Amino acid sequence: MTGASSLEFSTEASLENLHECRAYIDRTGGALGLESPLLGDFRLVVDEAVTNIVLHGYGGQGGPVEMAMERAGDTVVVRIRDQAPSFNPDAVAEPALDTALAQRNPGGMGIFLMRQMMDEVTFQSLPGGGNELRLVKHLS
Amino acid sequence: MATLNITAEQVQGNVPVTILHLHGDIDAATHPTLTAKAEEVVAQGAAHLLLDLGSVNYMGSAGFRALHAISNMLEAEGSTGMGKSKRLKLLNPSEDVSRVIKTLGFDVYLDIFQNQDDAVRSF
Repeated sequence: MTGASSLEFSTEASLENLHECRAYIDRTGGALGLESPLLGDFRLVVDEAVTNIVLHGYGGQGGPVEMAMERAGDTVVVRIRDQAPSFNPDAVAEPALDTALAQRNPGGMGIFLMRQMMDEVTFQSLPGGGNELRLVKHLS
Repeated sequence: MATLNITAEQVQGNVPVTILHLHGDIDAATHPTLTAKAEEVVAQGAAHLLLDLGSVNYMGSAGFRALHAISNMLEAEGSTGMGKSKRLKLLNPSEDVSRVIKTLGFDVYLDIFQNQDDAVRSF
């Protein structure tokens, strides 16, 4: 995660830094011309993605996180990279929305929100190690 | 780090209602603050909670984990039905927060009010 492959924003994977990640999205998304509610959607899915990296990817032990938000015409892409072990999102069960609240498993809501709010969500293992998550939204 | 400050207010409707006024962001770093405050007021006897989200700038799935935990705290007998909670209600969420509430299906479980007096009277 150095040199030419570095993404624009980097931070340490920590719950205390979630606020910084959301601030990066607000700042960059605003500069790219995004407005509410779309900006709120990106703020949410990035927060959920980084939370999963912190808690599940690195198991709370910390590590690097990088991200970049870019726009090409009507397509907005956020890429988030980490150096955590490979992750299989299909192993995460979706929350059961038709179940009484007391019986609901409170897990799995982050990936569910990403898939609900984005047009494309892809996880990829990088050749040199680590993972890249791509969150894509088409504006039209 | 994001901050979440919470103040508690006791008001009398048809029953005593504890309002938790939340100020700040509810994310994975701050949601234990909400759960702990709810535990504190429930331990002091609160049985009906209204969460005032009017000054919550951001709420992600961690906030919904807290709502799940608080609902279970209040529904000691473990309601198995799909009806709305009679003990936990929400006040004045932003448009962003409202959208997440609906996407995660929590509007099925929790009444949402825009007016504090209406909310208090509903318990």
